[in-house]
Amino acid sequence: MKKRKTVAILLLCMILLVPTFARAEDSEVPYQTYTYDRWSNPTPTPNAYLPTRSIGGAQLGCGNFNGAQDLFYSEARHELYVVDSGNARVLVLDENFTLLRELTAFVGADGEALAFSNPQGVFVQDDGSIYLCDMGRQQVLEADGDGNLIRVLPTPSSPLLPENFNYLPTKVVVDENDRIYILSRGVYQGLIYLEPDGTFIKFFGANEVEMTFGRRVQKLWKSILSDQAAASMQSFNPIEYSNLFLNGEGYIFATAAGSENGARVLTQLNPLGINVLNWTGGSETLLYSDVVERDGIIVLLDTNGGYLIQTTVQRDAGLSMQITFGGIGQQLGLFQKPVSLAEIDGNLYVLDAEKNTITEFVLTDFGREIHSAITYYNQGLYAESIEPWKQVVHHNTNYLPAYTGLGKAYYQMHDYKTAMYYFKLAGDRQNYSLAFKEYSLIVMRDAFPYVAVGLIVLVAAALILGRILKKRKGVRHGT
Amino acid sequence: MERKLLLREDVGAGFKHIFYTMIHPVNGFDQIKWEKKGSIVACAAILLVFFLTNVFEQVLTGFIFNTYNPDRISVPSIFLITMGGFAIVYIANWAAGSLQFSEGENRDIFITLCYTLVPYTIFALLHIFLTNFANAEVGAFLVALRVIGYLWSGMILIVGMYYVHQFSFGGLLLNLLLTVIGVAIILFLLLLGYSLLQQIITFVVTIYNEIVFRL
Repeated sequence: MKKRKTVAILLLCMILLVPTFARAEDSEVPYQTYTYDRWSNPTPTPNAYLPTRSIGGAQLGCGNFNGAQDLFYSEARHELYVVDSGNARVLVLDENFTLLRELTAFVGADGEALAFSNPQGVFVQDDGSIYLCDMGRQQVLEADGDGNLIRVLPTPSSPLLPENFNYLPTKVVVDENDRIYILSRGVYQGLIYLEPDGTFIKFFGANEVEMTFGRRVQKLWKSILSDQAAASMQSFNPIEYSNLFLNGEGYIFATAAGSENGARVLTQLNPLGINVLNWTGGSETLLYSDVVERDGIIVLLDTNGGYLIQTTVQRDAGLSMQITFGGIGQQLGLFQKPVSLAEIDGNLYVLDAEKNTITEFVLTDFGREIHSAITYYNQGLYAESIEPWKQVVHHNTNYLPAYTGLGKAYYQMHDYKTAMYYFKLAGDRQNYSLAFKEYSLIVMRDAFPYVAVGLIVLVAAALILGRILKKRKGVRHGT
Repeated sequence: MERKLLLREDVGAGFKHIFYTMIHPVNGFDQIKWEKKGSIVACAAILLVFFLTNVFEQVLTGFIFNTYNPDRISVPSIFLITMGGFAIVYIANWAAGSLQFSEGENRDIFITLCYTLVPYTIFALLHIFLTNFANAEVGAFLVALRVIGYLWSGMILIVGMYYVHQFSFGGLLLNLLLTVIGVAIILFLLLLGYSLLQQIITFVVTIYNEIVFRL
């Protein structure tokens, strides 16, 4: 009897204890989503994305991928292109992940098929023409949507190119004026920029040289040593780009792999090839392999740690806008070697070259609220962003950009006191200072009549008092 | 004797003398040296205010200018840094003075060093107060206020040391240099002592454990 009672109590204890240890979110995903607080410490946050399924070649009915390298989504055509490098083919899928076409070669006008050798990257224009970087053939091929070869872009030739130039095209984007930007492995001078007819114009948007302390010391030495000795020293080259993304507004986003201090790993090139993004990431992830952007929300893919990093182009937002999730592992939602990223209606698709799968990440309510709020915020519609920001805060009080957003909204609505309250919560000193300035002006303006009248009264009283005293003195002297 | 001296001190006059010296350093330090003006109690009060100012700086500075993480503020460590730092500088300066056969007395050196802190403390307090009413654009003026405090303190230090030790100007510079070296040596010795102590403690604990296991 007594034993049974003990067992019952033990069971009750276990039942009571279990839910406190396992939270609902933890059991769903194998990673912890995090953001940064105002002191740049990682802070846990609810999940913005949840992994829902992983799609491999077997599910598509075309055999497993083999070292697939690129994922490209054409928004105008609602088609997803998978470059399956190891199998030398390009798969065309629709949005529901049913296989539409499988391309293994482009067919020339004379009926001769040009088989792919080692395709690395693909770009599809809105009219359906496909640009394919084939590293094995050392060519960039252009074909129409059905796989009929339009042309083979000639190997760029120019005095600007080094003599031992080895053309290894890996990624390509084509802007709306049909100008072609090619990323070739080993070329650090920038992107190879071609006219629509395929002639080489120049190198485009070279990344900056990263000046670390060691490099500065070397530079000093170079200026001291003779030219000959200096020439034998290591030369300073810009960081090579790893991937390209053309956004809806015609900006090219380029990621760079292998930065030493976290700067210059993401650039946003304007049509002149100048970086307009002032972004420095955290220090822990330094091997970015792909990026997508929509409405000012950037998602970066880090191959090294298997992280997905959502951030924004907003200049004043800094690190705190960042949301990081993912990791290295075997479970759904973790990666072995993620190489490419595509975004369809806010959901993310990550191609893994080693797992040979595409992992789907679906926005949670929290993520969706952040997206809608940031979209309003980036457009400067601060008042409209109040509601979504409040929802975000409701889900996660530690998501500081929400407070900055609310502060800006109230600042715009001339409610400076509330704005100050939210900027303080966000730890946003600069904006707090602006709101404080306006607020103190109002306070001073309101107080001015009282102060002025008070001063006048005081001065008058002093004058009168002085005269009375003088009179008395005079009277006393007189007597 | 010391005790009597403390009791006989006119503390009120001591406080007055602090502000007199701030504005008339030459006369003020002359009086400390030859007329034994100045009060140890008043100097202790300066040290207390100096310590509190350092606490206030982290706690009460206006939000726009406050870069301290409130989670990381530790009053004991501020106390240790300010008071310990003062003690080390005081000892180092005294030692340097002894090496140079200075005429500075212990009491005078202490008072001089305390007086040095006064302009710094006053301007720091003013700065902390004003940061609560200023926006970021006015920040440069507040920094200028701070700099005035530093310069004034530096001037007081130089004049004070010059009069208390009765050095030539070269001797004064040597004295300041020796003080800096002395501070470095003391810090090094403290570090050495600390790590040595740690090893001795581990050693004793190990022996104790060995004995306990064998009993």
